[in-house]
Amino acid sequence: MLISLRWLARHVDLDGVDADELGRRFTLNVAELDAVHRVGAGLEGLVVGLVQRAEDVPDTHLHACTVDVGDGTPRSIVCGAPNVAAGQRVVVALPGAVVGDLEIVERPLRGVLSQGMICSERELGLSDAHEGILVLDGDPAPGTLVSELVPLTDVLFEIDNKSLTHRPDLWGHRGIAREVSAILGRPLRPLELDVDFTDARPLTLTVEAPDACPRYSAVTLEGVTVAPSPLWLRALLHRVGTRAINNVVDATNFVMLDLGNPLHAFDRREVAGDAIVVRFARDGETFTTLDGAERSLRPSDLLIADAERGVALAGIMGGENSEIRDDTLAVVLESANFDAAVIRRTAVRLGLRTESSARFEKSLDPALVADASRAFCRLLAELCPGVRVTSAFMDVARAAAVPPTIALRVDRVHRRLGVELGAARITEMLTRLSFGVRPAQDGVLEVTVPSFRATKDIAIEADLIEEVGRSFGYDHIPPQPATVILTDPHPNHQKLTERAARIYLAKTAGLDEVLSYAFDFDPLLERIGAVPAERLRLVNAISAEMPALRTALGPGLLGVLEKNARREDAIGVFELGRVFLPGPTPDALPHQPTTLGGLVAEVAAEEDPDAALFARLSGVLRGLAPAVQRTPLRLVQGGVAWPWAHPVRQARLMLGEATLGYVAELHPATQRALDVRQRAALFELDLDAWRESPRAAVAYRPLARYPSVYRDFAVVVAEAVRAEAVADAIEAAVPGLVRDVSFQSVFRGAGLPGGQKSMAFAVTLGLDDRTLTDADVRAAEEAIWTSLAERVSGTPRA
Amino acid sequence: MIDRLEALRAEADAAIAGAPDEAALRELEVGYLGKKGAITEVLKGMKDVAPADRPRVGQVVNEVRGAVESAIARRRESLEAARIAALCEDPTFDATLPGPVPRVGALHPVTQVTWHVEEVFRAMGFMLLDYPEVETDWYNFQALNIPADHPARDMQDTFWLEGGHLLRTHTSPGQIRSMQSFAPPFRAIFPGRVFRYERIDASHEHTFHQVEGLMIDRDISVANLIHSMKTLLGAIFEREVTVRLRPGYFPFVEPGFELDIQCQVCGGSGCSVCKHSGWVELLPCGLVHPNVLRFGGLDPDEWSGWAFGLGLSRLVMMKYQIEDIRHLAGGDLRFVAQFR
Repeated sequence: MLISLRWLARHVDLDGVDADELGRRFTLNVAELDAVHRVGAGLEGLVVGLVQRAEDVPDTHLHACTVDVGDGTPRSIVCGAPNVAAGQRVVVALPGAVVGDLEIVERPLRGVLSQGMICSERELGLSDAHEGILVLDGDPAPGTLVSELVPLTDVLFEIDNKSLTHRPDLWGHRGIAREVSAILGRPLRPLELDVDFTDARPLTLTVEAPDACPRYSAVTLEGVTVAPSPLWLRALLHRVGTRAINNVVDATNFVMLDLGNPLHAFDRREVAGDAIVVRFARDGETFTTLDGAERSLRPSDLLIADAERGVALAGIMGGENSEIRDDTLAVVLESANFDAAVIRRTAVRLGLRTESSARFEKSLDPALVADASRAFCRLLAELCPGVRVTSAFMDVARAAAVPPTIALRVDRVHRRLGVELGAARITEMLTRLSFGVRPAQDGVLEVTVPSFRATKDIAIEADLIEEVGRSFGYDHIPPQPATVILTDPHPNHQKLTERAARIYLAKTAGLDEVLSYAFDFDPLLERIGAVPAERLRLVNAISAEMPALRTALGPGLLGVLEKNARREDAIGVFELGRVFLPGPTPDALPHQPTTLGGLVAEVAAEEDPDAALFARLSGVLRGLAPAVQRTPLRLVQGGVAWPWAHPVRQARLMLGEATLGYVAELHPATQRALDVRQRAALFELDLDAWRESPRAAVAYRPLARYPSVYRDFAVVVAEAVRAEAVADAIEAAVPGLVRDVSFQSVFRGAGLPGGQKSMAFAVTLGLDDRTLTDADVRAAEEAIWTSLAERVSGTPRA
Repeated sequence: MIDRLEALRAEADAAIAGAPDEAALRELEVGYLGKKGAITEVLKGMKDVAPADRPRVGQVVNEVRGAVESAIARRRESLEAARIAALCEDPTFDATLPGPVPRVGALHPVTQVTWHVEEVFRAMGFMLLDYPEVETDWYNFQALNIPADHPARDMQDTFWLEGGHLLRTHTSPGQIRSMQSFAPPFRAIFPGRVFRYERIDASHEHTFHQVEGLMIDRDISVANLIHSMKTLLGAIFEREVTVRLRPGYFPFVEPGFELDIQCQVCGGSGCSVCKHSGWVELLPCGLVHPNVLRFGGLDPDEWSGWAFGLGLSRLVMMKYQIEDIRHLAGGDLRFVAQFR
């Protein structure tokens, strides 16, 4: 929203006020100014010129003019405007003036000396009109400063509308002026609102939906001559970003921008049956708004209708059928108040947000209705001298709300602001903002809220405390530490687990942390054939490519692989974030576990007989358990359904009987679909579920007092036998004797029959109560070989 | 016999002095002093020596044996010294030859900055909490004093899910959830990811990170809020900061503020970063609205509190002077790797 200081000065004296300082205080006391704009700088010296002669310059569209600028030396000025003519009083910029970005200099144009420029309205910042030069009304003397006739310069405050969402009273210059008057301590000028209404009631007003329209008023005016508005009005409207249309429409807009209440003028001829009905639309009723769009309405849309049809979409936009036309002679002026939620719903649904709907959505003060109507009648009479008001102020209103009063505890003000102000100062500050303040009982003020603050903004004591605080100035409140009660510690084990996992993966496993969007990226999922059947879809996706929430981290990690595959040979990344799975019932929040995922990739031979990447990642996962102090997860081969998982080189990550995730090599077909050089492996793991398992406390054992004996076992087994089964067979052979079993290597080929492999394990044996004897060790070795033979058909490697 | 011993001694001395290394020395040691060594062999002849001469011969034997032993020890010592001296010589050594570096991964800058903020608050006794990203309308809006059809909903363009849930537009639902979970007084922060339905460009993202702070106690004032913000921001920026509060509208606080921090680049004199105002808008904050306390199950006559929301993504951008917010979730490892 743009606020003109010239406009504000109609309401409060701004003489001698520094605009920047006022802007700063407005920001600190009321709402943030996005910018302070100065318009018309460089135009101060423009003067009135009388065109004495205007002759065509041969073979051009230019005119060579002689212009009297009041100093006795007529100037030669070349002007391209089609409308320039002798006898006109025009605006002349002489050398030295700056018009827009153009510095005026004396120079020849097409062989004719030009000693200045005759300006258009656009060049003067008065409107967008640039078809011709501005011709001044009346007969101001040549040489008169134009700025004395027309407000060429101004200062504009730009305020983001969002900063005023809560302040319906600040949606017009009058409301802003009220705050400025409080800031400056200067009085607000009273409004002049006298209008001679008649007793006639030429229309019947029926409000069928009083909740949606608490107040509806109409006035008829006749003797209208629709014409352009005078320059001052067009200039003011232009300055705050509103296009001038004609005097009637401009008057409605001016009053809206001045007092904050939107108005609408109907052509009197088009109000059929001398009746106005405020009603909800019928389902499917169509209505063409004055922007030419036909709109299909619903019973929740409020309509202004005459006896036959809709004539305006209440509070949002008038109808094409009843708009002011060039030949309009009589108007019906609507000044009304509509329910904020009703207007907002319709405006949002139709995507039709107007200056009017923006204001009604904020809950306007019904008392404004009469002021706005009167202000319009006076202004139109000024713009269009033949105008007569030909009706009473026809007003259908619910009983005016009793001004609310709020008990304000002085002590509460002090405690909430943290500063002692005293009742007198509080009273003064609130009074300046038009609140009524009266001492009630001891330490309590009875505060009456003015109607323009009572619709939504100020309802409770805390709201008044804010008014006092901002008036006092928050920058004047000295900081003061809070006194707190020592509370119980609440360590967040989930966060500690997440933190430990991140540090381990980055600093020990050497993976880089990435963040991906919470949304599925369908082009990638389609390419790898992994669009989930069930997922949470968005109603308003940011793009059709990201229509739903992710159900896994894998695709995001594959996206990172794809993105970096050309630049980097080896990639190692992880992500920690939520995935989203539909909840048990539609009403329940979805399951959104914090999930840990990782991917390693390197340029490697496709065959990779050792499954090195899988091994690397499973090793990373084995180290993760102690890093996050959780029970180690078991790798159970098979059962991973994600389409990007290698069909064989994969395992579920299991905790007891629960599957918490998977680790897998990338499916060769997925690698091909991604068109990357690297082989890759990835894992995902439900960290929340893992964290809910008992914390793996360190089980301390006293240091072994008796020495260990180390023995290597190279055992030949069938390919189908898993390392875990071999280790289990070793451990089970001599319970209580095995201190450690660790896998060393696997060997295939020379000397081994087909379908067999040799696996080497290093076994540490020992007892807690004595040293092992040679006989003990021999017996243990025998028992281990027996166990290996029985359990995994293992034989010693020759 | 004595002559032989003396001859052996002379021979041994020469051999030991000329032994080039430990192995040769060890050979000499065995050759003279071992079970079958030359001196030992001589000793075996003692039985043939007249008994009267035995003490004298024995003494010589012992002298020779001792002399050889100590010659060997001296030679060994000097060989060791030479070996160590040689090891301490290395004319080819180059300390600047790069060694292999263990691969150290990067923590995402959002993680690093979040942890820093968490440390500051934990040191001040704040709980660290975490709440869902998919939220209900009630937690995200209604309980925060933003009923249906409230214009403030425009301020937070929302991603809606089929079925009526939404992606939280701010971390503020945690205010209600924490009030429901913990008995007052308490203080907590809840960092996390939030979502706004917004087209992205260099300075706008539909996904970004915030941290919400909440302090509930019996008598929390604006003066406390200012103090807390100043202290916390000083710890976060690791320098003294000047802040100012100005009115800002957020339906869940009353009074509500925008907190500006004096521009860290120009120190308040005005520059392009602060758009020549000397101040940079940093975070919204305020005293918890009585309705919000009620929705959280607390009596506003008894309890009060302050709350703030700090944009972590923005803090990351400020801290590292990152020019494009899209890098944060862009997955380009050239970006992430810089934060190792």
